[in-house]
Amino acid sequence: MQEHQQLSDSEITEDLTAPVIRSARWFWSVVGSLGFIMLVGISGYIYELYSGLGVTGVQRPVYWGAYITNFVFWIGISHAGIMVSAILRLTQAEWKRPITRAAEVLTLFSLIAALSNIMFHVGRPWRIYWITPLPPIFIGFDFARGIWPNVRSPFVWDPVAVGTYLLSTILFVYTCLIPDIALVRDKVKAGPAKIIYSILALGFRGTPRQWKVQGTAPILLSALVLPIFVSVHSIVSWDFAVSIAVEGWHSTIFAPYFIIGAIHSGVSGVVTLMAGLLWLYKLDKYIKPDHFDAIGRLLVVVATIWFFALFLEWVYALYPLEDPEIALRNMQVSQPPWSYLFIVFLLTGFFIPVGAWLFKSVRRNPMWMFFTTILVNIGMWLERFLIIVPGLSRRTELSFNWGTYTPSLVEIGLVAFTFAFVICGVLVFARIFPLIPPFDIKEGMRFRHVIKIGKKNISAVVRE
Amino acid sequence: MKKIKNNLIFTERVIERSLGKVPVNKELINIHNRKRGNTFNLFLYITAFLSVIGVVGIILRIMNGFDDMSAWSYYVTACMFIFTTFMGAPMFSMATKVARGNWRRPISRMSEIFCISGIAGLIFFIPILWVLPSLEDGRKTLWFFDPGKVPAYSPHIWTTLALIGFVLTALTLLWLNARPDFAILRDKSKGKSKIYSFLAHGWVGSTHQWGALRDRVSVLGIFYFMLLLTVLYFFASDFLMALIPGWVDSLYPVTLSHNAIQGGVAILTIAVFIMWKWGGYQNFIGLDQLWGLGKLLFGISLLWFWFFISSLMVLWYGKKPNERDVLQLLMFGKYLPIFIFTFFFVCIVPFFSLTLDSIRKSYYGPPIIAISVLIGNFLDRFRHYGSAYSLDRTIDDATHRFASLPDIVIPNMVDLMVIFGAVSMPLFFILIISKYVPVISLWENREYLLYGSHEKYYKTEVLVEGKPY
Repeated sequence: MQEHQQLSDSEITEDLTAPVIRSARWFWSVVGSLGFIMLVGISGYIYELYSGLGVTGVQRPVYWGAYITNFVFWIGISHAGIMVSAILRLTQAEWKRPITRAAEVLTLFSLIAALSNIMFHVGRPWRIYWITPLPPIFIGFDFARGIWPNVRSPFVWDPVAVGTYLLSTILFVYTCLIPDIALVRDKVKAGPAKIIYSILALGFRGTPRQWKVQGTAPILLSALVLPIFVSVHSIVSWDFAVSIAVEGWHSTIFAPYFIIGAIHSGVSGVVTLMAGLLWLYKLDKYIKPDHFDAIGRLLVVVATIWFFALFLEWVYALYPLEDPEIALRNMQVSQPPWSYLFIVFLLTGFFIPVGAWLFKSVRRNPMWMFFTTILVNIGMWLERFLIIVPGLSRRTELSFNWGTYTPSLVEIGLVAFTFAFVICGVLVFARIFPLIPPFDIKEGMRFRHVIKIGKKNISAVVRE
Repeated sequence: MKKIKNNLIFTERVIERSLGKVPVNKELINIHNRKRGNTFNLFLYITAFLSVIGVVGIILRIMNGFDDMSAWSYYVTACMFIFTTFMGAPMFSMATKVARGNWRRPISRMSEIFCISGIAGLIFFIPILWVLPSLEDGRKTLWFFDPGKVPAYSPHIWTTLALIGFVLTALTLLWLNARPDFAILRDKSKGKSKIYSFLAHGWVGSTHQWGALRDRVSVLGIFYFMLLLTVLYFFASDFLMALIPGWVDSLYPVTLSHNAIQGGVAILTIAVFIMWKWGGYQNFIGLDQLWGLGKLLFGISLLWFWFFISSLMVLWYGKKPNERDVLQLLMFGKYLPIFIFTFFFVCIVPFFSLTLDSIRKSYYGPPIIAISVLIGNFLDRFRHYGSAYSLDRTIDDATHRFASLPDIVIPNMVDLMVIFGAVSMPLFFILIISKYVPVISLWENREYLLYGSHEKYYKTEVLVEGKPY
């Protein structure tokens, strides 16, 4: 990091708690607009609940459509928090400080968005508890069920994995928030807000012992949450890969391919969020071009590994030279609309952004990074769509089973709902808690040094 | 041994020297230029002798002919072991340079010196070209064989070219990284200055030369990584998967690359321990390095489990006849004991031992675990290549399954000669090269003196590190 601006503690506190103390002018109009989109989505969902899944585009043989695509997409985005926060915390990367909280919060809301897609996808969500075998104590209430849920089914793994991930993410976000809640507690005027902040701060006063625990807990949680992070998307990938009935799904590389794709998509999501926050909250003292540069270089590496996994997935799909698999791949690359989507996916998911990130001037420009990372996520949404839908909609030997898929307005509305929900969630969170952790920034300021080598000042850091 | 303070033995000692007490280069040059001791020479003669035994083993194996593929099981295993252990070690230097980890500096050259093992790998690879049948035998291939359009020897041609490129890149990388050191030795050594003058190739340390060095090392580092992936991709597919009918595992090339990095870190850990214990580099290598390698080994061993389970889940759940056959062949059939030992040495031992701070953060813990990983790595190579090369590829028409599964091949005298040769030859080359290339980079450590300093911080003293682009 070559650029640095030394700030005083009071300046940091003032800057970073300002959005919590008073609303920005744009806040309610933006949240209101997002709320309207969410309202439209919810109306669509009520209509779907009332009319049944027939109002969606899913029909035989394509039973998985936009909802499942969106579920996988948001699970992917949720990997941003752990990738950026936990891994960079464990590796003691200094540039992580201003972006960890935003990444963790993005994880939290995208996980909720992902789970909501499962609710949209099942026809009768009030019976979703049927998936779990009830303990004997409850059987008395439910003699009539007479079902034996298959706990070995991949569909049981998902709620377990995603639920665990959600719980640990909440714990992670909350643990890292405590000193900042205490800071806000001391800044707000007496009233209900102060009481709530006081309860949430758990009596944090900044004693040496409390700081010691505060320093250790996130690192321990990072180490504990990493296996969960890996297992979640592996399990989501196995929803597809353990099946042999659909061409294009039964591939051993799916778990690493999904994980690295999730990191690609999630870290890009964090960059989009960083650039957005930079403009909305005028955080240019904290989020510097250096941060975009560092994360841009990380993205080049991640994207390249992801592309290698995509390459292997394709090569080994064609390697056995089986006709159905060749027909599927042929359909993906040569039959519209799949071929158009495939080209858009490759261009937006890899070639345009990675080509752009090779230039330092692009990596250091928040606007360019904002647009290129949005492109990545367009590509990554399409990637999931192209994995799920063409395999199901391909024409097989039995013509009665032919069918294709077009998302209905209800599905489009609910997909839009999830995007609005996540953006709105992050903004509301930023209205209640500091989205850049003041305590972390202050610590960074103390650890920062400058070493003079010849005529150059080199930014240095105290090694813990 | 001086008491270790805050686990910063290397950096503290080097910085002490930067304060003017002892110039770091002088001490390193003295260690490099001194006459090698009896232990070094003994080890050199042993590895030279075993390398000759290995070459004799290769000749005997060739004289027995190429028709019986099962006789080549251990040979191919040994060759693959070189590529998935010795040639993985240089990745440490590339990766930590990208991550700008300063703790790498005393050991990055050692990791680069492993590049020389590529020559041994190439020697062992040549006979395998005659063992692997042409594509006319009807097996599946990456090259989507179409007689008349695609050469029947595509795997042989392209793998050889990739392998030559890989070894040349490795050697160039070693030379480029060591060039500034050759220049220092040219100016400071007596007796060998002509050799060093040739190797330094006019290095005077101009700004332009330093800029070019950094760019070339970065580009070649990326090339090295890509070529490692490419070579192992060919070894995983045409030299292994294609020989087991029905085995389609898109993850295996990645797994093999991961195994190479794991093996590389393991052998580097042992090398670093030897340098610390017997090499006279106790002032430069410390707990920081072995601890760091221990952490890496721990993380990589966890990844081993993840790669393994990712493949297993899909094949086991799929339960197609060919998938059941593959699992039966590689894991649950006659190779079950090999699989259990592999799993134990390469995953269980590192995981459960390196979890403990007392083992991970010690001088002796990581190298001992590294030995376990290397044993496991060899067994893993044998589990795959041994079974593939001894498999009768006849498929039963009625059951669509393998007509028979092979027994574990018991090594004979020639196999043992080849195995000892494959392990010793790279070590022999490394020992020879260490006489000319400083095993601790002079310029990288000198550079660190500019970036590291001790400063007072409230009531204590801390290490401050600069991390420039």
